[in-house]
Amino acid sequence: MRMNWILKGALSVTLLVAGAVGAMAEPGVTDDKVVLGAVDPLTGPPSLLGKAHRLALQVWQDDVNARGGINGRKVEIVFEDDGYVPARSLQALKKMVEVDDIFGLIGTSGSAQLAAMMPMINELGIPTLNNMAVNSHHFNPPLNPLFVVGPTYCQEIAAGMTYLVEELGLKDGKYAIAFQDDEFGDDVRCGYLEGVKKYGLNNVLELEFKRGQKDFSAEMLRARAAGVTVLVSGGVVAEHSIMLKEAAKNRMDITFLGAHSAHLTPVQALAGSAGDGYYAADYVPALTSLEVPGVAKFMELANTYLSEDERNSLNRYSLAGYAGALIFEHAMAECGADLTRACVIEKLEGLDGFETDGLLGPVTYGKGNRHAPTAAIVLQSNADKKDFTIVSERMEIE
Amino acid sequence: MRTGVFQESYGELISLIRNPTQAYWTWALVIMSLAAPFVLSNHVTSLVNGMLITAIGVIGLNLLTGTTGLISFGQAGFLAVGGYTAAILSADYNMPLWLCLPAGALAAGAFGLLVGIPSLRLKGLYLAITTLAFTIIITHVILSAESITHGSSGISTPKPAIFGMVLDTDKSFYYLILAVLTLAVLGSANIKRSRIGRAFLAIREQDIAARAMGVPVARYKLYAFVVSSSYAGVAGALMVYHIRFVNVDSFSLVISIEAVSMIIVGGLGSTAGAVIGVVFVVGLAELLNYAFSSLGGTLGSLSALELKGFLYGLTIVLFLRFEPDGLMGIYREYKNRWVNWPFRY
Repeated sequence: MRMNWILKGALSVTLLVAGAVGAMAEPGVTDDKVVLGAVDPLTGPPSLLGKAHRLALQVWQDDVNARGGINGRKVEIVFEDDGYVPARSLQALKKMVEVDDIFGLIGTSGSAQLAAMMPMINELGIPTLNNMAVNSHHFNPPLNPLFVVGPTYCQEIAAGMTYLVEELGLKDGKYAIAFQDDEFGDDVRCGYLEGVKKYGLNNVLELEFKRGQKDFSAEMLRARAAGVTVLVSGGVVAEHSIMLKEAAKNRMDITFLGAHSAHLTPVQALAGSAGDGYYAADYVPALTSLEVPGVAKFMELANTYLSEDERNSLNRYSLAGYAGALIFEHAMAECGADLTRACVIEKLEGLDGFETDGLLGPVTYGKGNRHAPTAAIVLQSNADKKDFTIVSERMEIE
Repeated sequence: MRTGVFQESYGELISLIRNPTQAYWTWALVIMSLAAPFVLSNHVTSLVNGMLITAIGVIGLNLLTGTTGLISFGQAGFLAVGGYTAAILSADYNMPLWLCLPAGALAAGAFGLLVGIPSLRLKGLYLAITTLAFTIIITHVILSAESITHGSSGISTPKPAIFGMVLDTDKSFYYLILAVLTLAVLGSANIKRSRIGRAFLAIREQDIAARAMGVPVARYKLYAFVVSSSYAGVAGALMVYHIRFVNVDSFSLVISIEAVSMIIVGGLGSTAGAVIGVVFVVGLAELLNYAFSSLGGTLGSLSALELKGFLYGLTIVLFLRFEPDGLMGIYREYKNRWVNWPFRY
């Protein structure tokens, strides 16, 4: 009998110690704090994206902490700059895992940069949300801890093509695409070809250009010679502007469609008056779409927590980052006091129609599905007002 | 009283370790290198791994640019050839690491031979531009040859394993890199003290005079290109195993420019200088990262990022302007002062 009590006591102590060790072992989580990480391109040309993303995460961090944290735990985000170099992204993640002891990752830089980090994310089971650059390699095949927010460029452009044909009635136009010779360009071309195939469009020209190319005079002259009336741009940022300017210089009356990278005010500014009226397919609204509750809320918080200079650095990557942070917050909150990586992954997987106040379409993940939402909207550029207007409903693309 | 280190025979002059002091320091370095992973954290070990891999490529560039005097901005291209060769062989053909590393070196060496041919007629800036063009061409070829290179998607490689032992931690991989670096250092030092090294130096000083002395300049220039690019090929292959992913973004022109700045900062023509240059340039970037990371999450820190890049560039520019002999030049100067003190010479 006495032996039984001793055994029970020993077992209880063992379980308590094991439980305590288990709780302590959960990386980045203490009773009053949870540490998250974000790898962003904060230097070099892509810093336009990274800085805007980082500022949004800072806004979310300040807001969530002002609301008392998540289940009483304050959020601390560690930011690392990768300069948009995959090797540095991996190095940054290693540093955050080892030195900063992060719990999860809510900033994953570019497509190739995330690809370099994926083996480590998977091996360590770090709950990760990618809301910066979406590529099908990120979710096909799916990795258990990696969740991808937003449609691929292929899906965005396919949605844009649907808008051009069904809403603007451009079925009989002469279509062309200029795309850069990399993964991004291929993905944009994928959406273009889907649109061409779906509507039986007249695809008169496909122009591949070298990444970083800054002179599109030859390409636009070829487009003019071919009588192109609709041009899909597979450039990243400056390429859109240069193509728009060349088209204006050649007095070409074309309808221009770009992916979400065209939904940036610097693209408008670089193109000058030629930047008025072009279309950009995206999955988040414009920063000026204050009729969308999520945007209004974010801008209110930005006014509270950011300086004017900082607010000027915001762009669509800020909204994407903020929306991603809201998804992650929801999953962490659902776990309650017992915050573990496995629990957050389980809660993310269980999301069913999660709403972000119109920042994104409803978010639904599931077993084997790590990619949502896939709905996109189309925006039109207003160069004079330096903003964009939503011109379409959300379109769900397979 | 010691008044200097004197070599009394030709054998002493070309020996790798010339006096007992050098031997003690060498042993100390060996012991520290072997013990490093036990002392360093995983993160720092990973940083050191990156540094050592860079050092292998830079030692190769030093043989070409520092020792032979052929300016090359093609190191990123050779790195890409070695890296992609290893990645394709390991990921698509399941070839073991011990075959992929030499395959990377061979492939890069073959491309080095190809790029070296114009060097027979070109010098200085013209050669630099030709090698720069090589990097651009290689990037374009990688993107275009999608069926072989997977295009812009890149390639994920398996965990490095050698003779059945999986090197899945930074600490275990460190020893492999250290072994390859040791071979690279010994190879470079041996080349430099041989007939080939002396021919390289003769070409650097004055290739017409070298030809007049009977040095087959064309052969040795090609030889320098092949050896240098093979070093870069091995570094590229190791880099791929280190990151376990490769795509063209990893081989920008900046890498070639940084490699040249590393050998200048370290001291042109010196193998030790090449390694020290890598440690300085990579270490400086990391040191600035560490210093600025404490600034927190305000716009101040965003501005600080720009300041960091400015400081990094300024330090290297000032170095090149005021200390053209590099860190090895400073080391030699202080060593001579120490040895000859209280005399000036």
